[in-house]
Amino acid sequence: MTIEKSQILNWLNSCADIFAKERDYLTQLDADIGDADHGINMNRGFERVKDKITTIEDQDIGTIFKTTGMTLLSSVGGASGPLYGTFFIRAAAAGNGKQSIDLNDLCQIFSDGVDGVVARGKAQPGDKTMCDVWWTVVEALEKSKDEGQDLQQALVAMGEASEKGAAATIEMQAKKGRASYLGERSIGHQDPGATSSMMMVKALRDVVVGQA
Amino acid sequence: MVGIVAVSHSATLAKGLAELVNQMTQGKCSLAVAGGVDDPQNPIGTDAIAVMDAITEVHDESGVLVLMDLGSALLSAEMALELLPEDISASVQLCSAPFVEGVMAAAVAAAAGLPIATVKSEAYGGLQGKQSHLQDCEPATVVDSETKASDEPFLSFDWTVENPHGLHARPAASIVTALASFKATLELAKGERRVSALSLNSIATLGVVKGDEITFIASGEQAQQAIDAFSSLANQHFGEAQLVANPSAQLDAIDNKVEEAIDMHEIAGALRGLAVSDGIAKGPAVFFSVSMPEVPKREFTDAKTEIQRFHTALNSSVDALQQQASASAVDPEHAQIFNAQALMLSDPELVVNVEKGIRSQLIAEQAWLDAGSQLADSYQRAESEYLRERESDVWDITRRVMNQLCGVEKASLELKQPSILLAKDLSPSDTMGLDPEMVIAICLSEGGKTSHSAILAKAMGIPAIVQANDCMNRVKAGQQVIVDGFKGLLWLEPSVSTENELTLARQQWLEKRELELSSALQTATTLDGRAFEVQANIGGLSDVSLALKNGADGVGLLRTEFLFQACSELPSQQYQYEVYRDIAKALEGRSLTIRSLDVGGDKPLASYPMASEENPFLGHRGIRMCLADPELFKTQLRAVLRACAEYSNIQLMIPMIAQVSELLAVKQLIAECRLELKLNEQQAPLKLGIMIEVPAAVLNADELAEHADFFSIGTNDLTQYVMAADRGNPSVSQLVDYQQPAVLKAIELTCKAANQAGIPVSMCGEMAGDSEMVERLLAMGLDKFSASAALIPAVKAKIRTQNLVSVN
Ligand SMILES: Nc1ncnc2c1ncn2[C@@H]1O[C@H](COP(=O)(O)OP(=O)(O)OP(=O)(O)O)[C@@H](O)[C@H]1O
Ligand SMILES: [Mg+2]
Repeated sequence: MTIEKSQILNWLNSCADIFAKERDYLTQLDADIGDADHGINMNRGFERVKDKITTIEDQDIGTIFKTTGMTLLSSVGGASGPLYGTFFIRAAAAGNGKQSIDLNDLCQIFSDGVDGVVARGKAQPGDKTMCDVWWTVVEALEKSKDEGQDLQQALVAMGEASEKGAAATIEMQAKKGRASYLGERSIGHQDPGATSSMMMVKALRDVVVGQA
Repeated sequence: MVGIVAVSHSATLAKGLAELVNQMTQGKCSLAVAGGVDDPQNPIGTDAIAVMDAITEVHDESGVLVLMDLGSALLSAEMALELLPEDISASVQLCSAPFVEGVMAAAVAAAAGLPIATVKSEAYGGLQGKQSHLQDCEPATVVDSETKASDEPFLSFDWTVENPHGLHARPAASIVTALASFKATLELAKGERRVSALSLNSIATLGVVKGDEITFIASGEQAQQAIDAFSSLANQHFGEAQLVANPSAQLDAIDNKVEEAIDMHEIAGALRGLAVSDGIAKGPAVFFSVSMPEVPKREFTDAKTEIQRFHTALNSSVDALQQQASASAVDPEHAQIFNAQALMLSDPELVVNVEKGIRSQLIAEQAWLDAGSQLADSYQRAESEYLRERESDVWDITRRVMNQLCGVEKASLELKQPSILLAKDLSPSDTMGLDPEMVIAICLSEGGKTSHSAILAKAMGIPAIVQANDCMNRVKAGQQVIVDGFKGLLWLEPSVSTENELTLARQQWLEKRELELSSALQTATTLDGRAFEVQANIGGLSDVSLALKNGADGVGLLRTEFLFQACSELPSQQYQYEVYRDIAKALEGRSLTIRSLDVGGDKPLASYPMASEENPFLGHRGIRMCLADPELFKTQLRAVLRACAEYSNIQLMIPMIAQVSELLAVKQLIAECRLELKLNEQQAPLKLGIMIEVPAAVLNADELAEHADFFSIGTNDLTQYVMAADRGNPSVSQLVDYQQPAVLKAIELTCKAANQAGIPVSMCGEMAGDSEMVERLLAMGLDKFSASAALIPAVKAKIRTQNLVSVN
């Protein structure tokens, strides 16, 4: 089983829909520990992505990711712009020339992307950022791959991991981004970036596996 | 020169910083800013691509230093570096210096031509001056600014500083700039302290004040040259020779401040207000009051009817505002005021509130008044002064709709002699309706500095003061008063000497104004001697005098819609003829270009119902409508021909021409009219031109030019049609820009066709009033400009700086 290009496009479109729907929720999370714009940022970014990809539907997955990344860079506005932008631009390498991807590719794509995010944001585990979700997600994917699970199982496990990763940020104290200004007061809130990352990961699962 | 890039979450902050830098370096620094994101609703954020563009803009072989505010600005800047090609990014450095101080320090160093390493260390030291002044912390960044005396042979120069404010930032900058290029070690010493003379920050830490002795020390290859340069700079007081020679100029300014402070107290014989529009005038007081119509006593019908009633009134008020916006011949800024009001009226929240009121059994008038008052109230309680001052706009729109609902005619002011208008507040539409010849000054007891009526008064050149407390009670109608729009005073009983002073000041003011306007009255001739006509766009006879005052060489666009909009019946031939004739006469031989009726589904007429269209902007408008109703059109043509028989300075211009056959059809109709009126071409030598605003006309300009006597490019519609974007639609309005390459191309094609055919080509859209565009348009071969009166002086001034030989 593989993930088809059409599913990748559906995924990105569904991210746009989710961020439109969850805009206020994400903004509220960001209001608690940041500057109350994360939902607005993600919504704006993915609206543009949604527009943009209609023009490149017939290209390969690498190009689609690259375009997504470039679009996010200049439209999100917050820290998550360059971070998600880098994620997709780095992820593009393993999708180059491909019309579909398998579990191996997915592992590669996500771990390249996450490496990019870490290089850009210099976050450490436990810093209460989106990386705390991405690390658990990549770890879960690697594990599924090593255990020989099929793509479907891997995606389900990945979705669960993302939820855990996001929930784990509640107890953390922020060391990066706006939330770090709050010091200890950032404890007790789920990180907005971690939450949007979880939403993206689960959206991929839902598009490929069907609603869980 | 090292380029500086400032990255901020806020476009406003970035712009403000650029302003400071330009003031400080006299525009010598190569600075680009990347601020905010392209989202009017949520403009705060950073954009890596914008950073990349900014870097590219200022990059040269000396490199670029990037400073950022915080958070994602850093990430976006790093991202931009990654995206840039190696040959550029290699010479770009990111710098963690404090944003404002760092950019300022870096900019001065860069403008002085210093290398990037120095520019960067200057930026890091940006806080030094502040810290050493406030002494509130240990300097955070210790830059090696204190230099140590070495054994090297040196030359020195002593100087006693006479600059009134010592070596503050500007003189210090002039030192750094003048000395940067010498191959020498340069230092400045005061007492025990000795610092680099090439560091603005270090100079600032010396804290040199007037009377201090300083020593300039130079060693190295070019020490002598540096000493010479420094001494000549010192003798010019580091760029402040004038200030040193005439410190009283400065003192005067301080005196003025003191005077102002004293003025804040009660002044015998005058009321104090805020000055909003310069000028002084004396005359009898008249009161102008507009009142809100009373809510009629009538039974509630049913919700549906009431809601409908409300919507009808609302829609016609919005239409009226938009019409007023498009007919605002004086200035685009005015158009914006009315557009903003129209937008306020269309606010869905407001509509919902009214409908809610109606559903709870209130009649439409009551529900509207409640909603309007509520809105006004919320503005009044707003935090920002700007918003508070919008309260009068709310009352204005509330009254407009109330007038519609209650069938009240608009109040107007008929004055028999030049007078000074006193009112509680004036709405923009009331202000626009004032005759500047009759209303020689305005004094409001309320109103704000940024209120729209204040802006309008200023644009119309009427002296005005606002917030003159109690003026409505302290003055009697007909009483002689003096408005001093410079100081914000309403004089009721000036002493004889004060009155004399005021008369003198008025005289001086009038002379100065004359002078400003008289240069506008000169022809606009390029450096190489070609004269260009700059004409006015007007909406009626009442605009003529302002246009001429501003130096209009005739009228390039007379919109005739106003004749048709003003009344509920179509204007007769006789009436139109008289209007055209009067305007032509008032122009005293200057040319008058009349545009035939340009209405359609998007600009409806009360006197001429039109079918509603799915897409009126692309529908039955302009010449299309006129050709479909020859009787309507011929009435206008006859009127124009008759006027032309008396005033041969009249020409006719047809809007919305898309194909040659339309122009030929117009010619046919004119020929018919000539026969009927027995006016041949000698008797009424009416020239016939067309507006170029439909892309089809551009593409077919060659053939059209064979049949037309002139072209006039209407850039507003042309831009919208070329870009296929509606300027009223915020999601596409950024496409509506006459600087779009495609639009420029269309203009160029049009000019070329006209030039080739030997017919004049003019421009009457907004672009023609943009003095920044003059050079481009001349290069393209434009022959004439036509713009809002207020913009004419600037366009003419610009033309005078051009040289066609170099332009072409
Ligand atoms: N250095 C970083 N590394 C990884 N993730 C980060 C970093 N900084 C912020 N984030 C993530 O970005 C999220 C916030 O994104 P958002 O779009 O709201 O940006 P922001 O903090 O408002 O940006 P800005 O710096 O422009 O204020 C945080 O919840 C966090 O997950
Ligand atoms: Mg945020």
